[in-house]
Amino acid sequence: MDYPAFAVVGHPNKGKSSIVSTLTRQDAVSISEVSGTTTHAQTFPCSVDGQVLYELIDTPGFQRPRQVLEWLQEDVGNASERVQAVRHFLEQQKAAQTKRFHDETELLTPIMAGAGIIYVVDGSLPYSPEFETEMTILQWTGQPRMALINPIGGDTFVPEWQAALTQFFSIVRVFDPMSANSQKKRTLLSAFAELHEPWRPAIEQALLQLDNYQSKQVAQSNWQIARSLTDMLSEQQQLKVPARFTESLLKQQLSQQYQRAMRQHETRCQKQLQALFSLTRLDTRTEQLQTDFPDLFDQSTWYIFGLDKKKLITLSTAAGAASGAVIDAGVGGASFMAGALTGGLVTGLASLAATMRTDSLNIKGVPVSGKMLTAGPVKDTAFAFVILGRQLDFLDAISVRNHAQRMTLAVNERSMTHRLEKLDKKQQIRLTWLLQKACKGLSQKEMTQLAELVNRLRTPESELLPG
Amino acid sequence: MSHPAHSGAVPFFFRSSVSRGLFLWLAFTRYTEQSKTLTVSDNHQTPSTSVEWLVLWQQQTRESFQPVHLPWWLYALALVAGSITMAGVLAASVSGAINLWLPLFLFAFIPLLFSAASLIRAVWVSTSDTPPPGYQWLSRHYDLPAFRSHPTLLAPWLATRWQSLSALTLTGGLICFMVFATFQEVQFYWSSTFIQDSQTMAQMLSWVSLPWQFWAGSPSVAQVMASQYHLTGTGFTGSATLWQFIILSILHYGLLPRLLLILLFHLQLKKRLTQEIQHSGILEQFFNCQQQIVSHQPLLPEHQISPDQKDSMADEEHTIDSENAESVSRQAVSTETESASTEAESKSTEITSPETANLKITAPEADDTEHTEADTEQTETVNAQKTDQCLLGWRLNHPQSQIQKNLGTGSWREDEQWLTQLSLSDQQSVTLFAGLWQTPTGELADVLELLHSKDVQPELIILDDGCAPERSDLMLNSWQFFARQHKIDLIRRTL
Repeated sequence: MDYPAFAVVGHPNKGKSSIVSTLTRQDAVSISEVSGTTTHAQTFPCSVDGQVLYELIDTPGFQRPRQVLEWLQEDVGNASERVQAVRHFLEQQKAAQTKRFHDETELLTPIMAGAGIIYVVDGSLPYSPEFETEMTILQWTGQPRMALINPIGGDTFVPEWQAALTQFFSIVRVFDPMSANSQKKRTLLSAFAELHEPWRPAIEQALLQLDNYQSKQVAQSNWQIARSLTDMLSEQQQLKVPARFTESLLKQQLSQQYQRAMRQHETRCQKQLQALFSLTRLDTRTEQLQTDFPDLFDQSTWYIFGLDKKKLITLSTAAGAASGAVIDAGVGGASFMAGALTGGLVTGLASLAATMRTDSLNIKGVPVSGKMLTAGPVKDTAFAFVILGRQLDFLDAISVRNHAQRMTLAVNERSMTHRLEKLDKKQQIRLTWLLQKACKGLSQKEMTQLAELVNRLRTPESELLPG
Repeated sequence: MSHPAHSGAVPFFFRSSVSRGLFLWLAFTRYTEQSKTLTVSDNHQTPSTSVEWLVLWQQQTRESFQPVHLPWWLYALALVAGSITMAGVLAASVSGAINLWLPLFLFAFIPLLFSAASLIRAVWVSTSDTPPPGYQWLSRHYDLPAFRSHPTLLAPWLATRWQSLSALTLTGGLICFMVFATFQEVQFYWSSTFIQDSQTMAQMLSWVSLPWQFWAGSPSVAQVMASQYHLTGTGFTGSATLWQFIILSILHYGLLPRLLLILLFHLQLKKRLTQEIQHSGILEQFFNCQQQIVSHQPLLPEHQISPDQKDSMADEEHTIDSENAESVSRQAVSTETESASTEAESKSTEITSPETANLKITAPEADDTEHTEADTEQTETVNAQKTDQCLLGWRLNHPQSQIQKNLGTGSWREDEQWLTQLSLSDQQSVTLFAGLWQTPTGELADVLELLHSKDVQPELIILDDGCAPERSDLMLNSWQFFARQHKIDLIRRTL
């Protein structure tokens, strides 16, 4: 194990699991509002690209600290024997039949195995001397330790706690796992490096990797939005219209089909963004996308074999030209490709004439062509901006979401006009052009440009999570 | 927006070939989108790098991965088609000579036009999500992924395949020509209505042979003149020496552009696939999914457990329905507020409504602001028989005079001793007061156990001093859970 581990300990129900969840970016850490529900220590790694940077160990809260301290005190003559006394306590508890000190054993075991200590207290509730027993036990372990004041319901008693904790811990920080922005998380991790000198290189490396990862996440999320936008704007749904069938009925069906496909694209993008930010368990609430456009439909012609008119004529012409070329070859080229030219022209014109009246085309009474009703792509630029705005709103919301938060994420719609002000005129024109072109698909280069513009349109974290 | 690439992930996908890498990536994408997780037997075998994770993925999904190749017979068909066409060209002779234009057009100039068209499509029409010709057929036979989902990756892959087939066709033609020319002398002629001058024709052929004339030369005027065919048939001999020119034309205008296009599409695919791996975030999604650790099933409070679990946990006599308890506690608060003046007189109030029959609302005289230190003084023997109620505190900050002992503040041994020595009459009840903001712990449970060992069923009164009003309901949940676990009555009281 070449990465540091920290045991997050404290009184029950002080937000230990929330801190573990936020600092390891794991939204599967169980967080209960009821105290005493965590009964086993569990390790959660914070990793980037499959590589573990550090581990946090979520532990049960102290249940019988006074009894444990009294047990320890019985054995100890002087301070040098304290660590050994804690080890002896753990050994005895593991061998014991009764599990009276189960929770203390669970929380002290990783510490005595080398983990650093992060002692968590609730800054919204008053300090009381009972906590000193817990702090004394932690002191006895001899492991590097720091205290975190978690202002779960406010910071009324933070100064009181700070005054008490600084007597037991060299580092005391206030950290709210629900609303901490990336800077605060970074500052806290930097404090981990101060805790124990041998851990400094690993923590500094972790900070560097997390910074890189964050930049990469930003770039990748922009790219995903650019791609999803292209997919949505170029979306097409088609329905063959049988002869003498009422088109209006099919239009309704096609419209629903198109709307469903658009929503699937959007949901897919959102799920991918959630997976990218490691928020797969997050419930989100967004307004449903409406795609009820009057100019949604287009009518063309379908042909059997799935070829469109242009392809059919091109292929017929090519086939005719190839036949003519055989004749040219037969006369040793003396015809100077006149055969190919004639063959191509004749068959091309014939197929053009045939496709003029599609209803009449049939083989043994089975129609080989007919009308094709097409929904999308929507060429309305305003619609493209609506989709872009919705994706950006979602991205803004989840990019600052801390993993400890468990409430349903309600995505707030922000004004696209306000976002566009972040672009200069040239960039605005470029964005509009790219959105218009997205109906036909974008090249890699254009996708990169769109992703860069998406990046400029995002709301900075400082606005979303101030302070 | 350039960021460090995954150190080993990109080479992992390109280990054997780009084509294989593409389908490996598509399989990986599909796997990740399904949020599947790999089986890791124990912690010691947990991969520690991105490549180790990918290797594990490949090991566990090897059976389901099938790289896509075009069928071998398609390549054979291309080779044979080229050979047959060349054989047809060589067979179409006039007076034992072959028109120079025929092999040039069929194997050099027309392929060059198609190559140019492919290049234009690759450069300018690369964004189309319409499948290229043949894709539908291939997807039906080889279960290819939907083209619409990955047009930028599948288009160059397919283009590479088609260019390979075309190159094979030309190679077939060349092989056929070489075989034919090995065993039979092949003469070539040229003829034109508009070009009668051999000098002009020689100039034209010189332009055609521009790419190689510096090292292989171009047909001389004498050669061109000798190979000119007149309908009158005078002075025509044909020229066998033009074969070099034809071969070099086919190589430079037919085969070489195809090979360059194969290289171009190969590089295009490699570049796009690399970008896709780096930008799509699929790898990050995979790692996030694999390294997500779900908490061990913790003890669940009543509103989070299934009915089966609930049945096994609950004690019918003492279970407090959490919702009812909350409503009752609120009811109790309002009752207490309204009848504050009469509270002091009443010692105990029973709520008899069916919903709350198992809850007793008690209003002891503990909300007085008076309190003395004497309450916490230690006594060797505690006799609580003086009153019909024994009032105990649990870590109260300011215990009041009626509280006989504020537990949890001194040493455990002291509390234990006090409780062991506590003697109660049969009629005497025990009430334990605790602050709502306190967290119920095992030590409090031990206190209750000591009381239970004396056949005392204490009731627990939670005092809400309004310290953290926004969290009082949550704190009450913890207390309710604790009360259920230890089968005691719980009452909330607002001070």
